[in-house]
Amino acid sequence: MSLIPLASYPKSGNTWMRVLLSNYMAEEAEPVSINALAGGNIGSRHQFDERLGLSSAAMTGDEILLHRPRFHESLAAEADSPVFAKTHEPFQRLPDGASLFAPPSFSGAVCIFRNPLDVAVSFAHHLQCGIGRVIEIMGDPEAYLGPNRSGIYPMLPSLISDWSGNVSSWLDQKELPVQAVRYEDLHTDTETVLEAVADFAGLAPNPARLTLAVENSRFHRLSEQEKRVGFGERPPNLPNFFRKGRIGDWRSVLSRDQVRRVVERHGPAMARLGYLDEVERFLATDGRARR
Amino acid sequence: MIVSLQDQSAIAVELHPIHLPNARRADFDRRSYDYRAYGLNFNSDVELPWPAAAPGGGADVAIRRGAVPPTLGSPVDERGCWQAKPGAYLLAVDGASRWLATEGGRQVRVAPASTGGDIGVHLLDSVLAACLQMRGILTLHASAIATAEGAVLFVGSVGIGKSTLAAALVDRGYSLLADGIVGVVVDGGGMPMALGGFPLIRLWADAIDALDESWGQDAGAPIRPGIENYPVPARRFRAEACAVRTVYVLSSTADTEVVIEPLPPVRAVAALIRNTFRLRHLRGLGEQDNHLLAVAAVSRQAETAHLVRPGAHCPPAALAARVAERLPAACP
Repeated sequence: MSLIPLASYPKSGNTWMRVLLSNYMAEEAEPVSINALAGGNIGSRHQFDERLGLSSAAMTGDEILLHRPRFHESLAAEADSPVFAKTHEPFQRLPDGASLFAPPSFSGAVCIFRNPLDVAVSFAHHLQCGIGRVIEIMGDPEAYLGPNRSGIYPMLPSLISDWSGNVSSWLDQKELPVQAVRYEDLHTDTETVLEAVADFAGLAPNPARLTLAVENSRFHRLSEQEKRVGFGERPPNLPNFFRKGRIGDWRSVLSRDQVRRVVERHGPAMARLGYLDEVERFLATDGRARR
Repeated sequence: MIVSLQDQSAIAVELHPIHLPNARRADFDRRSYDYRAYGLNFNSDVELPWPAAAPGGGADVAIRRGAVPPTLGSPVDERGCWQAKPGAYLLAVDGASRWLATEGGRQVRVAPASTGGDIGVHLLDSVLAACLQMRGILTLHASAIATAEGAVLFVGSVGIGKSTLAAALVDRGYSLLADGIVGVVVDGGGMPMALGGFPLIRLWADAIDALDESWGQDAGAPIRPGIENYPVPARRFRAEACAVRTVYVLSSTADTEVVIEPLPPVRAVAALIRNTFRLRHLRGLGEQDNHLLAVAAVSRQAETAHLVRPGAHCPPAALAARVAERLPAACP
């Protein structure tokens, strides 16, 4: 079989999609444990080392990247059903010109996009930094998640690039079919979006299962579960991972200047995903109102 | 192009042996390196990133330059960069080197590529693990210290903090047994014994910064240029095998408290399997039964506990102090 990346810039609904798919595949009356979700991060250092027989700790970033396709081959070879794999990386070329997420190891990608203004609110909370700093990070084509060179973490270093570069890389690539999902649509009509993703992944959508999966994945259930048993993927120092899951928080959190900076930097990609009109109306209307 | 010393000598020996002056030929012929770890004598004509030992005794593992076929004939299992069958193991690192272990891990041949830089020699962890596994030795992703009442192991996945904790416990007077790969054999009485590895702890720069400053002073060159991971000699080291007393399964949490709680045997067995270094070798090598016997012996004879450390703002010395509250005294 093959792998299906759940690809998104951070804080765009990737974990929520994993929760939905996990509940869909489990088809249990009770919600699946948030600590046993399908679609774990494809950048597990332990898995990379163990499968390839290499020690990534002694390898440079480029050497690790060049060995990733073989790692993906190994994961795909053992999959007997569609295997979802979370990634925050852009679709990218390796130093030898090959694609990081190439067929046949990958058969298609579920790409989750979210209004970068809401991403900024959520990412700032996640990183425990200010909005200004997170806007800088979202504009940096060289942005990496994970370790610098002086330490080691359980995940391989992963490029996230800038928000525009990340989303455009997936929209522009021609090697994998893409099921594009907007966080906002997932929020508005969860069941329809999940049905499309399940169909895309060959999971034979079934209305009763869809309804059950959506019910078991509601935000209040996730945050209640997090309060009760904790969430292993919560970063240190963050009070809770499952926060609000709301759309449009940027209107009350970002300053008009911050909104403008995001639009200046990411306007074209926002337009491609249908986010720009609303924001431009906000800037125009709100500006007049304040005058 | 940067070519390491080993690569240069390989090129010279393989391409121009007839034209070398006799003195230099003799020099090459004599060049040999001895290492001792895991109860084994290693004799190598390739310099390895291990601390040298005094020559002596017969070689349990002879490492020689030589031709290595690109594949192992009729492997039982092959994944990633390796192939395995009972008694034999081959690791082929793209563009760098190939390693072939045969005769149950008694002979290892290495073919360094003429290009590829210095990566090959640093990826022999898997070859070492295979040589141990072919002898029925359980290989764990772990660090281990010796106490007056036996070995205490900290197992866990890469990057979880095993080496840093071991270093902080060495600062408290305990002796290092092994770091990286901990080898465990079951003796005639069914007791799991942790073997002494190399007297080194591999520490990352950020760990060195967080530890006592002596670790920084003792650190050697990084394992490779540009990778800030340093082998540091442990000031206290025990080479002799030591009965396994306690196994801590190490994980990290977003919370701020250190948690130590007993691990039920079933979960301990699962953790030992999950944290077996190069677990996937075992089927191909035909060593699955020996592995399970060793895992069962550890879970039966040793106390097992879950050690959860805060993922941030937990100085190694503070974590070591919490763990030390539950440890027997250091070896006299």
